[in-house]
Amino acid sequence: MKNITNSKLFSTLLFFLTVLVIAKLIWLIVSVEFLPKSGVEYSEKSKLKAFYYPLRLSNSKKNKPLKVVVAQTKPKVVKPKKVIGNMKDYKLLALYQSSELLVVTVSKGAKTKVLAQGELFNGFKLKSAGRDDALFEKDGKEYTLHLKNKKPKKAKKIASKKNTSKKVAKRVSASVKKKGIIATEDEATKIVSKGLLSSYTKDIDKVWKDIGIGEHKVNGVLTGFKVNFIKRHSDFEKLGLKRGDILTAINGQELDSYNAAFSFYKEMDSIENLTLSIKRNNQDMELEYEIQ
Amino acid sequence: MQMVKRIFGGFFLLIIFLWLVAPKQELYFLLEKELKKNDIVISNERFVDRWYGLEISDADIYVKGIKLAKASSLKLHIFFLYNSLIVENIETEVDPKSIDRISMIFNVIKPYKVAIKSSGSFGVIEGGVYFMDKKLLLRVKESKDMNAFKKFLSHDKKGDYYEKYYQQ
Repeated sequence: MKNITNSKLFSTLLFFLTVLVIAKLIWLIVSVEFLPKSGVEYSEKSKLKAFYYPLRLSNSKKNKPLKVVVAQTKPKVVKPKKVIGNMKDYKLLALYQSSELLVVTVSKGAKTKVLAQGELFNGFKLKSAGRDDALFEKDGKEYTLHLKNKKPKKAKKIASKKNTSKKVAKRVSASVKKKGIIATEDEATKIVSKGLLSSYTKDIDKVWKDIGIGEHKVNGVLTGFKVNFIKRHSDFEKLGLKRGDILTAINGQELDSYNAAFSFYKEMDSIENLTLSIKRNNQDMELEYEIQ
Repeated sequence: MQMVKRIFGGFFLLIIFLWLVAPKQELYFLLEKELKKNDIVISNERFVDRWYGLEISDADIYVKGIKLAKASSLKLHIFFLYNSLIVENIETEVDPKSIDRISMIFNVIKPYKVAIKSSGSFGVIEGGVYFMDKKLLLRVKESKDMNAFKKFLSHDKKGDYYEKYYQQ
């Protein structure tokens, strides 16, 4: 009787299949034991805060570090409304605003109260808030209360009299444009020109010519960036930075990764205020700037 | 004799099958894991599993958390004795704005290094990662627009080069 199957071919095929199964088995064991099941994906950390609100809870300028309140998202811009009256004897001590929450601390004499939106204090109802002020309502009239210790924005602070304010503002603006950085009256907040920032974002080499920054790690974890050198009379020196300073946060965003620093660098053109949190001689400090 | 033939044939066949049925995607994940140790992350990529290797497209490349580049094509060829990763058409966030090609090759004939070659608007760079010396050495073979790199380069009689030692 003739064989319908070729036994040699069958045996060779079986041999091939056996080797294939062995190869598969080897990889199966290797995969299960040693190979990762999924790849590494980049997970973005929280970006630079769109809006940052530095808040002084103490009257003393020397009393640093400052407490900060950080808004997660850009708050609604409150259009200037016709202010009918003033809340004399009232002080706005603190203001926190995010997309979901608005909380202020108001005082009158020795009495202090924390108010949420819509709540009343001596008949004054908290309606809304801007960057530096809160809007109250009483008997159909609106009242604005400015944040205590917060310098009124830009040139407003410099000249209080109405007839001179515009001239002074223009002079400050021109001075900022010319010099790049100038200090305000009390030197607590410096005004930095947008053009100066742009010159650094357009030419990164200019940054490294004026300042040397290196990683600062604690127990192998990046906690900030250390200023290793600053060129004399450079813009960074005028900003108040010193050799040995450790930059720990910018506008509330902790500098715990290169990405955080790079994000700030990329968004530098669009910021309106700048707060550098630094550690100098083991003391936390904040340097505040307004961008014009 | 027949038995010896079978053993050698079987071994050869096993190597071929090991290569063919290798879990290339998982091996790529292993490469990603190793790169992560050096703060390099390849993300958002798409895979096509080929019998000879893996083709990856539209990969974002992050170094120390910063998105530095987007590569339109990565080809990973795993032949065990000769393995290569070829990255093409890279658009970067920093200068140089585009890199035409980067190839990284591990050849069993030269097991002490991973050879690297790159070309782009900056010229041509060649070198590699040397395991014994624990260093990355890249030499400039053809210099075009090197302004972005110039401050990182050193010079010797062979020309400009970049050298960095690493810890394992």
